[in-house]
Amino acid sequence: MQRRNVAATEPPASSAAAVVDDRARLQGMFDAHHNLVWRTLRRFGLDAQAAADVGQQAYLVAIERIADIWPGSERAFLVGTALRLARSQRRSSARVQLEAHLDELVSRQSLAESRALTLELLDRILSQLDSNLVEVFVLFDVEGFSAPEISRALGIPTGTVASRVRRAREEFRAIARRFEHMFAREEGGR
Amino acid sequence: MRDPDLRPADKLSELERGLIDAARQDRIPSELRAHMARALGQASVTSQPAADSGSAPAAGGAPATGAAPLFVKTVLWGSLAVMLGAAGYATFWQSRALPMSQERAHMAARKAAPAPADEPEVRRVQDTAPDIVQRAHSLAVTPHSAAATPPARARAAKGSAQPAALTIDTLQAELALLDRARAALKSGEPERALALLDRHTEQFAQGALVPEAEALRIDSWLKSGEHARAGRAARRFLQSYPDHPLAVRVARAAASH
Repeated sequence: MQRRNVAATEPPASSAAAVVDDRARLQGMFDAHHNLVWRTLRRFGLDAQAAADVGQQAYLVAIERIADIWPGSERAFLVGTALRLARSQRRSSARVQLEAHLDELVSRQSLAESRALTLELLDRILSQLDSNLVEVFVLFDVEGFSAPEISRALGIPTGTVASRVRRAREEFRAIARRFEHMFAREEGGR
Repeated sequence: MRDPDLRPADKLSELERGLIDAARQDRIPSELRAHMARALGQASVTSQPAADSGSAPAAGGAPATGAAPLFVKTVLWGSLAVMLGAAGYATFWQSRALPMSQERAHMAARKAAPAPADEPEVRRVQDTAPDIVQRAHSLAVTPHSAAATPPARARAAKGSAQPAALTIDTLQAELALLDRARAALKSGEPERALALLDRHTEQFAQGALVPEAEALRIDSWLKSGEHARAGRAARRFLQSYPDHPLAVRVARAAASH
């Protein structure tokens, strides 16, 4: 797919055709990436509703800048915009309310039985990481973005992406291990 | 292309793998999906993609199941409760911005758009197609709760009378009462919280936030030492509202008593 340049001098007929293309492209971007945008915002700490609100705004930005989004970089654009929006509205966006007594609820069995509880635990762990680390960890290790793609989405150097991913993994693993030790203790005590 | 020095995480523990897989399989509830789709100027998007391309290639065949039933019900309840700061989360109620006006949302969105300097593959905004721009400006950035159908009540589903017309005023009054009960509970006055919750039952027997009130009642009974009563109520709660967002919290009460 060729990158389209909608310039001010472009004839009206071409613009009309471009509008049709843009609408189809936007629809495709929605179908392909709305889950990604929403769940990335969820992992970033927004509650379900706030993530949908910010996700909606990210698509509004995409509508406005559709002609500027390079084919192939749609999801990086959407996620990057959504995270910027989330940061800019951080004080007013609803943060997820994490279960206060999660430690008492989680066990290997309960996690195996409940994805909601597993996500609650994941969000608990991520909430203990710096937000800069959460972004790269989620995009790289969960969503399978490449380092250059994350670099474009977040506007940070690739080297920074790599170093943050490593730090995020270390911290994520350290916290996860605490829970694993807790499970082992509980299972050993039975 | 991936950074050759930065490889996908390997040797993940069972827990780490489970957490990451759960994240990959997380799907937006259908109600919220429709809300997001309003950015495209439509109430809903009919085509559910077979797979979200945002999923990691290593997702291991994560099913694209769409919204789980739990989430569908959760959203019916949760969107309203969450938007209005219910479920006793007063801090959320206080900090949550009022629904953005279209213009404010649009301005915020523009401000937050990636800077071209940060994104070499994204041009500076030029002349986007006119009707697209017009559409963006004319879109109603409606908060989900404002557009959502009033929550389907479990009791309504069971055939009892439909609740009175749900208005924002009614909801705010109901919410204010629950906030007072929650504040009383938080300040160590479970008896006062219970009295306020009784008042809630009298005034809002068909209210939109009955489950939240019941959860608060269970907490109040626990705090006042009436564990058996709380345990029974918790089990009733789980039977009536198994998919409610508060079910996890209530389940803890049921398990411990």
